[in-house]
Amino acid sequence: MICPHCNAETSDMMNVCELCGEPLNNGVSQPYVEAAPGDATAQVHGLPDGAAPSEWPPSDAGLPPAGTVRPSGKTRRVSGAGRPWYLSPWPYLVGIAIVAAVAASLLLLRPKAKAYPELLVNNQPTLLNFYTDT
Amino acid sequence: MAPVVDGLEAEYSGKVGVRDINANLDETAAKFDIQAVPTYVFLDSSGRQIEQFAGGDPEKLREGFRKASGV
Repeated sequence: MICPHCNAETSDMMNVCELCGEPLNNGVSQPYVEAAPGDATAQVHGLPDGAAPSEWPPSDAGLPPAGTVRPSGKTRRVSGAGRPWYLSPWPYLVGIAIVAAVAASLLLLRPKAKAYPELLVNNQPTLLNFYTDT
Repeated sequence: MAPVVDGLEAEYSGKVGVRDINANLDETAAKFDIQAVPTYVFLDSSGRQIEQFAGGDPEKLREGFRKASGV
């Protein structure tokens, strides 16, 4: 699905966007579970009455209104599965490193021209004139 | 080719030296794999080979002198 915040492709199995961490406010994944009206404790589907999930905040002041359950790790980013490889810098860095290593090895393995300084005349460029007597 | 070499040696005096090597007597010929004579090998001022050719071609010889002297 498309994240409404950053417009990036992200998994619709998550409550938050894998890239920006913002909640996905669509019909499939609701970041909050609405409580039953007038009920001091939330009515969570699948849980018996009075049994609250582990994320359940204590009913102190300053916390979200009673009747809402804030899922833990709201802004936690999801790594690993589902994230396209091209969004990570590592494949590019590894590629650059491989190219650099190949170029360096070619430079190092290049045969070096032999030098014959002992054949120079007065240490200046010299013509070697090979001849025979016959 | 001796007159051509002598003329170029005089022309490039002080810039390019000439060393005559008897290919039958000097082991230097083996270093450069001399197969025919005359063969000309140009070395730069570091002693590195910059050109080698066989046969009496005055133009190639002149070009070799020009290249070796850096002109």
